[in-house]
Order: sequence, then structure tokens, then C-alpha cells
Amino acid sequence: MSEGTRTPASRAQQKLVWRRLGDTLRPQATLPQLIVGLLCLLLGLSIAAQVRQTDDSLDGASQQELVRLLDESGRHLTDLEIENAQLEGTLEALQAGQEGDVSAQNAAEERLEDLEILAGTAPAHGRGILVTVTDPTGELRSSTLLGVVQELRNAGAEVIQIDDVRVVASTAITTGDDGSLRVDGTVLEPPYQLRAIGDPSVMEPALRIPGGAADSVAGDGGSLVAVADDEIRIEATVPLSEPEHSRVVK
Amino acid sequence: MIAVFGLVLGIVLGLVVQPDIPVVLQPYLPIAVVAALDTLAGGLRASLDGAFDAHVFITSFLFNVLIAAFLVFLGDQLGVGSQLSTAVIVVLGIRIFSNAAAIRRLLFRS
Repeated sequence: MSEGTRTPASRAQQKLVWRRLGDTLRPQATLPQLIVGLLCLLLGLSIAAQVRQTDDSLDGASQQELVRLLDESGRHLTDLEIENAQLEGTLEALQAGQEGDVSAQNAAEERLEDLEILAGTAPAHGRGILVTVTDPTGELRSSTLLGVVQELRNAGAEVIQIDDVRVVASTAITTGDDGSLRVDGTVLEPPYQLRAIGDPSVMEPALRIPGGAADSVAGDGGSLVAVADDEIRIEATVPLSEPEHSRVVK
Repeated sequence: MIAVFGLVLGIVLGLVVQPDIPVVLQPYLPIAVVAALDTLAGGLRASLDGAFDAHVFITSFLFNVLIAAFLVFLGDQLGVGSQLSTAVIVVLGIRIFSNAAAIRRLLFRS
């Protein structure tokens, strides 16, 4: 490559070289020079284009590089998908746990409401009947009033209140020393008002059965009037007493 | 002079116009550019030697570019594209350096 070119031996020869350089750089409008210029123009164009192309990160990448990048991103994608599946599993487990908790809580709340109504510790409302028992002669017996309550219970009354006293499982209807009626110790003044939540179409006829509650009241000299109502409110409650001796069997 | 002018004009044109390289040519252009640079260096040295021949320059320019591109193409076909490209670049680089050294010696006697 370097053979055939020697270092100029003298200053004169070097001058010749410099003159040749000047000749080379002098514009010559010959056809070959023009072609050389054209080729150089193409070369410059290619250099500029190539430099710009290399700036774009992926355009200039070789096939192998692209395959490697593709592999890497594919692996990354697989990793992320696995992670995604794991996270979704965790999310599902958590949601299932939460749903279980929520449904258990709802069931417990419903059960609590049912029990509160049954035990008489919470006010209740719903459709039912309003029963008014008059006792002008004052001869209404406690067993007759109890009969009315039993008739209502038989007819499906869920909550019963006599005047301002809630009727629960342990409620007692007694006759006082002075002949007045007492419910759980509370003295009642006639006329007695019974509120019962339940199906009016069942409870009302049940009271009117011949020889039933209404007839018993009439036999004691009183009268019984039952009126169906879409909204019976029972506000009276009884305090809950802790069972002292009994325990739940588990 | 026309050559230098053409080179500068080409670079400016390329920066301004920003041509898109056809996809088919993309793998070959870098090697072709290096081959052309080698020819350019050889041509300058020849002109300083007083042995410059425009016809030789033009044919060698085109021939070198084509051979360089062909080698890359062949390497791609044989599955050794990157290695062969490296080989071509190394050889052309050596030639450019030796030509540059010859030009330096001619101009500065050292």
C-alpha cells in the first residue's frame, strides 16, 4: 500500500508535491472531475443520511440485535404476565375473603335483627292490626285478654304490644289485688289497645272465629274491634336480661 | 476542488433534506461509505504522487463500494454478516490509515 510512495528526497520534490495538491484542489471543469465531484456528493449524502439513521435507536440495529431485543422484551413480557397472574390471584383471594366477611357480617346483622324483634329489645314496624278491647263493666278477666294475645300469636302475629308494654315470651297477664289487669306488672287502663304486626287478613278473621277471642271478650261484657293497618309501629321494648344460669350448648 | 465542493454540498444536502435510506440498502450503506472514504484517501494520495487518473478513481470508487456491499450481503447470506462486516471495516480502516500516512509523508516529509 505504501510502496510506490516514498518520502520526497528534497525540498524541491516536496514543493512539487504541494503544487500537485494545489492542482488537485483547483477547480477543473472536465468531465471526469465532474463525475468525481458527483461521486463525492453522493458520498457526502450517504454519510449524512447514515449518521442520521444511526441516531434512531432501532433503525440502524442489525438483525441479530433486533432478535436479541425482541427476545428480551418477550422474556420481560412473560415475567410481567406471570407477576400479573400472581397479583390477580392475590387480589381474587383478598376479594373472596372480603366477600366472605361481608356476607357473614350481613347474615349476622340479619340474625341480630330477627333476634332483637323476637326478644322485644328493638322497635318494629310493619302491616298488622290494631285491636281495641273495651271493658265498660270492668269484668274482663286476665285469661280473656291472654286468650286474645294467644289468638293473635296463633294467627301469626310477630310482634305484639298491649298499651305501652311489649309482649314477649315471658310476658305475664295477671289480675291485681284491686281487680285491674296488669301486663308484666304494669297496670292497664281500659280501653285496652293491642297492636300486632303480622298478616291482617289472617289475624282479623282469627279473632272473629265463633267462640273465639271476640266472643270471649263479649262474654266478659266487653267488646273487641280489630282494624287492619298498613303501618303499625311498635315502639315499646323490653330490657334484655342476661341469662344467669343457662348456657348455650355448643 | 470540485470533489471537496461536492463532498461538502452532499453533507449539507443530506442534513437539510434528510433523505430516507431505502430499506434494501440499509445494511450495506455503512460499509459502502467506509469503502468510498478509502477510495477518496487513495485518490488524494495518487494525485499527490502525480499518478492520479480520474478514470481509475471513478472505477475504483464504484468497484470498492460494490465489493464492500457485496461482501456484507454475502456475509448475511452465510450467517456471518457481523463478522464479515467487521473484517471489511478493519481492512478498509487499515488502508485509510496507510493512505493518510503516505499523504502525510508526502506533504511534510516526515
